[in-house]
Amino acid sequence: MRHSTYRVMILLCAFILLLSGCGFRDIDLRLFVVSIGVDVSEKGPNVNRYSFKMAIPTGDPKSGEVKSLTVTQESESIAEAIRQVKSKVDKELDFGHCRAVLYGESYARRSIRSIQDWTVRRRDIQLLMFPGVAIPTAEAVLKIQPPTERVAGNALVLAISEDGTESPFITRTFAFDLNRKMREIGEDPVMPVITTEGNVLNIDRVALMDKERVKLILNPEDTRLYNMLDRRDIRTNLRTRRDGEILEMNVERSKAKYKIIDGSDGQGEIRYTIRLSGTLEEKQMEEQMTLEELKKIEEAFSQELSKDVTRLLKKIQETGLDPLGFGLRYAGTHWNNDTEMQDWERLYPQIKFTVKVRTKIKSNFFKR
Amino acid sequence: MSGVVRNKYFYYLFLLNASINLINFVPGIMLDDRFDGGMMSILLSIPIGAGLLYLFAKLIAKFPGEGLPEILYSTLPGWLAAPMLIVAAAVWYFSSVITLISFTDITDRYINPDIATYLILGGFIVVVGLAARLDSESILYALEMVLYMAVPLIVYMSWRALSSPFFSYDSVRQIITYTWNPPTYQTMAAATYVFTGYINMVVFNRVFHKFRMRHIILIIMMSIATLAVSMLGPIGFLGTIGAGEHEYPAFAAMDSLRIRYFIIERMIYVFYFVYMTLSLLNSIVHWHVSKELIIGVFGFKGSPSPKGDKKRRRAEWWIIGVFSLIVLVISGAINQYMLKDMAIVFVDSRFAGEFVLIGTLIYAAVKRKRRKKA
Amino acid sequence: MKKQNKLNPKQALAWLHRQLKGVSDIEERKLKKGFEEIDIIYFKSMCDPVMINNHLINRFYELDDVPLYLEFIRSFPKSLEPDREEDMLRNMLRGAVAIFTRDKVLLFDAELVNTSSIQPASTENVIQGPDDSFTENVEVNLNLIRHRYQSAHLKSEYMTAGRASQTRLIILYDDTLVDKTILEEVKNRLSDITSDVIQSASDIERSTMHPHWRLFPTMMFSERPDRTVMNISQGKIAILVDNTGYSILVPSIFNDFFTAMDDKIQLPPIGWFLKAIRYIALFLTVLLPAMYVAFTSYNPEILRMQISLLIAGSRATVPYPSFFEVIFMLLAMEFLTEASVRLPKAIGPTATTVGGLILGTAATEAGLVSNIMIILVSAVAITNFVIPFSMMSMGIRVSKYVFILLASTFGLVGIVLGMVAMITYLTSLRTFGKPYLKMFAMDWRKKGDERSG
Repeated sequence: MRHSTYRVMILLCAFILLLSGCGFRDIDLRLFVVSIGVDVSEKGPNVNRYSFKMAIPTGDPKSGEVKSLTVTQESESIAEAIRQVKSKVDKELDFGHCRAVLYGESYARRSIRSIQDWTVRRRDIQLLMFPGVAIPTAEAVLKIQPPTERVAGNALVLAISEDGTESPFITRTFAFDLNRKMREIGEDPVMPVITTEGNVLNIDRVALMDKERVKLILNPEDTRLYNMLDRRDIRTNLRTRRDGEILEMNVERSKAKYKIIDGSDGQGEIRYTIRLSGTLEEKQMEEQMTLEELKKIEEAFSQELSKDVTRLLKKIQETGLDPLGFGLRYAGTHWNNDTEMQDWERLYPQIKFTVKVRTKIKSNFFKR
Repeated sequence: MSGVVRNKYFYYLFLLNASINLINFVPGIMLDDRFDGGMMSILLSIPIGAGLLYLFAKLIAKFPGEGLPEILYSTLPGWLAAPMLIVAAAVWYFSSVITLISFTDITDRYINPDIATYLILGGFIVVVGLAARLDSESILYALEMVLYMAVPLIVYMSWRALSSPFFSYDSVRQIITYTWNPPTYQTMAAATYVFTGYINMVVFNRVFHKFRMRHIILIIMMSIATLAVSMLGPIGFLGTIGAGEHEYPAFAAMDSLRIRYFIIERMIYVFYFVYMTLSLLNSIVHWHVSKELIIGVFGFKGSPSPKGDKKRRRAEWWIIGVFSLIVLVISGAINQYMLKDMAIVFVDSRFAGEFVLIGTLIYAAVKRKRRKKA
Repeated sequence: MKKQNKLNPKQALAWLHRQLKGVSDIEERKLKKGFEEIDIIYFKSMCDPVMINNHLINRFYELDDVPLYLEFIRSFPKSLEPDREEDMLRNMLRGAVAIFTRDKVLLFDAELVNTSSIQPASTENVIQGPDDSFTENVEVNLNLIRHRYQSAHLKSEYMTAGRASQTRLIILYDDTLVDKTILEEVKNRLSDITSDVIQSASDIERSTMHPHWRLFPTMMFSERPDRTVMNISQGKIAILVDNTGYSILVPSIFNDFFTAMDDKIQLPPIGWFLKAIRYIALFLTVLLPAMYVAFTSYNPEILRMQISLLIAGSRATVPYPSFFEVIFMLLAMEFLTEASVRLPKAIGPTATTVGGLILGTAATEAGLVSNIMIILVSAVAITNFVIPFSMMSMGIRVSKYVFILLASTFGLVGIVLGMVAMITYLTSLRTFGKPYLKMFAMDWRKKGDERSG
């Protein structure tokens, strides 16, 4: 009875053996593209400069040498560029490990839609890629090899993904998130800005975009505030002055919530509540700390932050962009689906911001 | 002795179907209607689906150890029973065809773009075909093993998805505000699919001898969770607009998750692994059920035993062979749009078929009771 | 043929002489006392000379006449009068002495049993715990078990198997715990054995289990009396086979092969931990080589970039595809294992050192094999030895090649396909009607559970 089964199985094994071999390409015959850069080209409005950074594996992990290759190709479309790059290298290009796509600033100010669409559409490119704006050009950023880099092309990804460094200035975003915000009504995309400084990379700004192009690049100070509004638990330091003396606070936990309130007068209000807690890191005052003093210091921090945040929100509002997704929240809390977006468009330009900050200083280290 | 299993295996059959529901054609169909009636159909599908399941469980408990072929042939005339069985088998078989073909497509897209599609499909067919021939009891044991491996991972992945900082609850809220739009038949049919695991009992009931339905509230909770995750999960990651743009929304949503501390970085591979085993198991179960229904038409009785007669075995091989051939032919002939249309046709006819099935069972139960009294 | 004298002694003696032509360990003695004369024939190698001297030769001269002497011999329970010549010869081959008087042929059992003394267990070691193992004598083994299971419910039934070998089997079970249907099945299968020679426990396995073509054992051989007793107390059936130092335990399910006696000896959480370790080892040993093939040749994007680059770097000099590399190294490891089993104990460690360390290092230095491959092969070898039963670890050793084949054809998909196939295959196996692989395997003991049905 069972013999027929085995006969079939043996036949199948033979069949499998015959077919073995197609699609079989070993890892050492592949060249991993770790990041892609896109820049404008001087050759014409339709031509772009595409750069591909590839990691070259080293035979001896102890040697510590890191090698990578950046190939630049000017072409009308990225698919064409890849085909042309393929003939420049000896191995098969593999995009499975591509972790970053950088848009040169001037390119990003034009439109990133076609490339972004390509990365989502292409099946071997992950949605977990990190997009970013590169200044001055993507090519220049890709060519930088920081001395701390241990795996080719990894330094940029480590920084941008916050696996390595955790900085309050880095705005983390993924391709899927960018893609979502580019399509969503009522939320606009953002990207981190990567600049070169000698042979290190600096990521301390965020670019606010309309649906497809960069509109405004915030300065580092505003970027930090933006991150605090966007995410939870930003570890940063805040500074305020009290009686002319500088106080530094180390923020350990932060949480920003907001509520949109329809005013009866047709003017809405966005009420932000930010909770901070942390430790006092630096104070220049001589006298001993008391509870009342602590409360006053907390109050000073709160007021300072509240003022800064309101200013930032106003600044964003003036551009007409909505990176924090107020519009989507408005739509999600209103059930009149047909008219809610028109309402919102009327409301947003003159909406009021009130920011309430609650600071809590937990301990002030060892000193009283 | 062998050939009898405990009640918990009924829940496993349900659970298999419910978890498959997260990735197959159902989220696609529901997401198409996310702005018009998708949410409403979820709400409505829960009483309807749970009601059908409860009725079925009550009815099938009246026929301990019997499969649908035995029930039908003992209560209906042969000329009516045979076409009913064949139609039921065909509908059930086609769901596995859709699963297999779409999973081959997923494999081709996300895992192995280099390998020929027919080879992958061939591999699936070999495993499914050989396993579908086993006896019902063995299939249930295999199902149990796989579920105990898969369900913790599914729970983990769902938890990771819902707790991700990039999961946009505002998008979900936006979709929830569209709840009051009237649902369509098609979306309703898709949403009730989560309960449909019970249909497998038309054959597996042969190994249940004291079946009783308990804890229906558990099933309802599971279904709500599954439906919510399958519809709102992709929306949270891909956005209200973006969710409709992906061929396989669940896979795209899972590609948005990252595992930071593991040798594998992308959640999608864990997801793929889990769902490939579940899809295979689901196809095995479906093929087994369809095969048994068709064999019932040819008059072979009872569940397959290790020492079954030769004729039956030969018939099984023929049926499995035809099944495999149909899958191969269909996969060569259709594209992804036709696949979706096929899925819709299946979902629609299945929903109607469930009512027919339950009606028939009520008739059979009444008739059986009368005969007993007489 | 049917006479009062079942065999004619003269004819039988002549027949016997014809049969034993050329057999040099036969001993024939003619004893005479007055007019009375008997012939004693036996195999020197099989019979106990002291017993023959005491009971047969001395008595012959002490007792008054032959009928009284024959009465005396008949009083032994194991002596008998053979019906046919073939019976006579067969019993002689087993250690009986044939006594030819003028009108009768009698057989007297004087079997010489050379038993090895009780040795410590060698294949199922435990860290702390009893150390005895079965001997090759079935009576001694029965003694070892009875000693540990002092209950009148422990039933023992004798059987013989093998047409030529006539191997003695003892079926042991606790009649209050055993599943009667399984017991019947065991007896039926044992009496169905048709082979000529049964020499070892595995002969029994091969000729009783269906299907014959299996990768995994469905009967457990144990050399430990304490495990046998534990299994009997769980309602299983033990079969003792003469001339083998093993008991056969049925029905054995998959999980039993991952239970070591240590689990019971240690504290429960440690026991669970040990078992978990074994299952992890099972997964690793089966899947690691296949995964290497899948990850290096089909799906390098699955692993982290750092790992991928590391593998790519260490494979840079390897001149052949990954599955060849894996099979090459695994075969080298199999050779090493096989060689060290056969080698004398004194040379064994040398072979391991030469093979494992020097060959491995040299192969990587030469660039024929990647570093990661060496790590992987050693991990596979070690994890394979974690599985406590060699029968099971053999099956697993073979199945990993199946997975390599699948991985080199389908990549990761092949591994998943293989896993599903393996699970369904294992769950479809039955050992004496019990499912071989099942989640929560222990609940099969709770028979008559109200909810099962």
